[in-house]
Amino acid sequence: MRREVQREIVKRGLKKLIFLLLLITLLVLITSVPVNFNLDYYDGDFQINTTWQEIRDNMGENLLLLYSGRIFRVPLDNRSMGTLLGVSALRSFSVFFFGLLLGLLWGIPKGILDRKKAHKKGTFKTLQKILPFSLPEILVVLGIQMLGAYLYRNQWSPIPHAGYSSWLNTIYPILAISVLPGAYIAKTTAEAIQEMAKEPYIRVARGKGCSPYRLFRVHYFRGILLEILGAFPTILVMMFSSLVIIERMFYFPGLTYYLVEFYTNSMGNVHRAGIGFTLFIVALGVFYFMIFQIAEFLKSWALPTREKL
Amino acid sequence: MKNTNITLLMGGIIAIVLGTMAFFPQWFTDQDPNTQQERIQVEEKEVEGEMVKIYHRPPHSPNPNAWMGTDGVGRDLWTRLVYGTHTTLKAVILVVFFRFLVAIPVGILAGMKVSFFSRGLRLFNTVFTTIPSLIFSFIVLNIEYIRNLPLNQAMPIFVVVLTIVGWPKLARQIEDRTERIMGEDFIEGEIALGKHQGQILKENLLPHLTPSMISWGFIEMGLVLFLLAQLSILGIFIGPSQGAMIIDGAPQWFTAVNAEWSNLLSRAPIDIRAGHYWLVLFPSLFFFVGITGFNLVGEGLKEEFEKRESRIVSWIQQGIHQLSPLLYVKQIGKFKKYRVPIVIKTTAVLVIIGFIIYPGAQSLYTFDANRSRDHMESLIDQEEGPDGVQKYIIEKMEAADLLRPMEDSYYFSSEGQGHGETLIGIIPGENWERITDPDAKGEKESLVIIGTRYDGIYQEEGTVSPTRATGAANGLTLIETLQNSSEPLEQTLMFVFWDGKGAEVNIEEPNRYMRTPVIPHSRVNYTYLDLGYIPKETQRSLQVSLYTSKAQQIQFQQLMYDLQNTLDRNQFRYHLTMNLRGSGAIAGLSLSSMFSIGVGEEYYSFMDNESLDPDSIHYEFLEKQGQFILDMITMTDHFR
Repeated sequence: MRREVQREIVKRGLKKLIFLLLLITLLVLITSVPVNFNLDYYDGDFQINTTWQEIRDNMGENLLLLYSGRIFRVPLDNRSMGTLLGVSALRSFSVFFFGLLLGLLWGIPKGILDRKKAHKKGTFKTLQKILPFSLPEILVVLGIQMLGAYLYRNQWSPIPHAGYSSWLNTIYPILAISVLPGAYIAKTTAEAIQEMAKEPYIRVARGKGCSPYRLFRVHYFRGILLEILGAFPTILVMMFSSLVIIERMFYFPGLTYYLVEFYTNSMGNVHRAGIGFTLFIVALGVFYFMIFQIAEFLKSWALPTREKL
Repeated sequence: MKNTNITLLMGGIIAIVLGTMAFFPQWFTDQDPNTQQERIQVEEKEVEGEMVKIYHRPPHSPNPNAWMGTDGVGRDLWTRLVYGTHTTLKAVILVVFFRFLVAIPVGILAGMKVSFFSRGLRLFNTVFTTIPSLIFSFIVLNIEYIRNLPLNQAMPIFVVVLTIVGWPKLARQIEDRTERIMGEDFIEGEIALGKHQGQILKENLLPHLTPSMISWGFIEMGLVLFLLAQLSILGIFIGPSQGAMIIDGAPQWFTAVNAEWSNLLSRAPIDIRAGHYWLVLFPSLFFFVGITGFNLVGEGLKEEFEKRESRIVSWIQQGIHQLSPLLYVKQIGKFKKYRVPIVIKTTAVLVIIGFIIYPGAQSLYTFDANRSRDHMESLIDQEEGPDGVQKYIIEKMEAADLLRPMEDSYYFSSEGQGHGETLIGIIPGENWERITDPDAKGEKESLVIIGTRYDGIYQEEGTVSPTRATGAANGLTLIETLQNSSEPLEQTLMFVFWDGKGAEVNIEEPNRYMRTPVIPHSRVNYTYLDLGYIPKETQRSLQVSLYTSKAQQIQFQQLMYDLQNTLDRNQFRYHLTMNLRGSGAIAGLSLSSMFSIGVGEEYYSFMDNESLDPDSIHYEFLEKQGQFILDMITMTDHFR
């Protein structure tokens, strides 16, 4: 590898690292406001229930705890914050990762099938495109939970419809979280194929008698992948919001479930809840940042491949 | 029919139905959204060959009386959803409007490569991509103070927060579209012809951007509804909550006061677990239909704008063109030719101007603030001190011929007539005979209690606090005005001058009243109006509080509307909260009252030391407090 390339990689890496550190610091500073922060109107003026000094002290303490790593050892309900974070992050990651995978698994084939109807213009096609994006998560969760409860209570299915006692509990959250990204992936796939179908190289390949399978494997697949990677930031934001709702609805204690618990002050004392809130929001920020970077890397890896086509 | 845009038609129908529901909810239901249905429903069922009665308490599942079922306190779900459409759509439209207001200039300038705006936009986008909008909105909107604000004050905060989290994405869309338009050949042609940026913006860019923005506007409405649905699951909704199932003075859970879609989902995790599927299903379906409707309109318009010759596009363009004030001026110049549009536009302008300057209903009676000031000065100028204050109040009650409720005495307790007693006098309304009839049966009668403190004016250290005399002064003026009113009152008014014995918070006397009321609770439903202390001159707004533990039992929607109207009509700066604020008596009486309104301050430290000068009192607020209570009693349906 040439020295300039190495230097460029190090430079970019450092830039990303500095951005990450700045992001973490910003999140710590924002979340250092006590979780029970409130204001009141008294004696004709607004007054807050804390002092700027307390907020400044919290900022200093949280930054110190985080960058020294001691934040993971802060005790909470006979556990340490680190243990709680590890367990919950694993749960969230499982739902997130397998949800995304499932979304890809049904989204791409659906997109390919939808593409076949591309020449058809009709209300049904528009509805098919719009309806999945109009479904609030709550309706999806309600449907899945009601069906799950019905099946479980009648002993037709071993999958419990709420809780977190076994790996089986992750199935319904995964199903629920995959709906929106799946629909988005299907839409992206269909649009990507429609765009590529107009390209001269595809027309030439079809003219030469290239089979649909070969056409897909050699030409379309990489293009689709690239488009999906391009849409990743949108998909991730969508999935993060869905994760908050789904963990809440399924009583599935992952990262966002605890985040809400900390903020609504349902766990431990206010001070500890504040530390927990900071740690979990930083963890979510880092989690999101890492996934975003992986997507960026894959995109930059796929881009030259496409240029060769 | 072949060329009909079905997508737009379907979306349009949904949007029109929702719009009609928002403005004319009474066309869809004849119930009040806050009225509680029969609380306990009895079902007769055969169990093991025997007929048994099963008692159901709310929430009731869908049944012939409530086809979507009822909520946890027995309010009809369909009615609450129908009435909630107005608030929900208002929030959605305002958020989208303000998002566009910020996004259009920033997006266009960023798209025209003004580096300050493009960099700023990128920064905002990065921040709001890193912190999901749902989490950011939740963190801000979960602050207890915001959750307790009444609807009209919570709405602007929701609009600001949801605008902040959403405008960068919209601005990015506008930036992309602007960049694309600016890269077109015809723009290069315009530049070659010598057009400057401003001309290009006005003559080329905006006409090309407008169709896309109209379509995005509807899609954005769907997105805002989506966010509202998500926030609701985290317990965030527009408007305050109230305690439900109050046991030992403590609410077991909270339910929303105002009808609105998202608050119905705020207990969704619990409702699903409890098997109350209808409480989640129907509100989610409303969201689904709303989001689908707006998305369909957005997509339909997009399809329409892609057509070369679209009638709808030409209607929109014509519509926008017709709104131009320049065109109106030009048309006036050729009156004969443009008679019809001129008449229509002039009528519209006059209606709008009339609506803005129309003064609204005037007060039936004028509150005499000077009389109040005289009372206040008399109260602080009593040679006999506290005893003199008491004598003065009794003298005025006698002069106004108020009924004596307690064995021909104004003293609340017959045992302790003399100093240190709460004083009560009654102005009988048309229902007084029914209230006092020991054989009366049927529904409870209504009673309005107007309370204020009169203690503590003369301090132990020899100082006199005029602030502590303000409530009693206004109470006496109200008695005089109402007793001399030309129209008889339907409801009986009871004036209570609490003696809190100089304490910061007055609890003992209201509690005593609750245990041994002058008129038994079994005979009346009462509403409590509290005259709090008038603040010092430097205070910017007057505290107004509203509390109810029984919103579901009364026509609360109308009451909230009347309260807000009366406050606005009196044109003063107020700070309205949905909690207990006032003389302290409000806390004692609120749990059994239909509702309680407090106007003025509770005890504050300045009133016994810094505010000893009578000139330091905010006399405008003294007048507004009295006028507000007077208007509420004489002009609103609930009191009249």
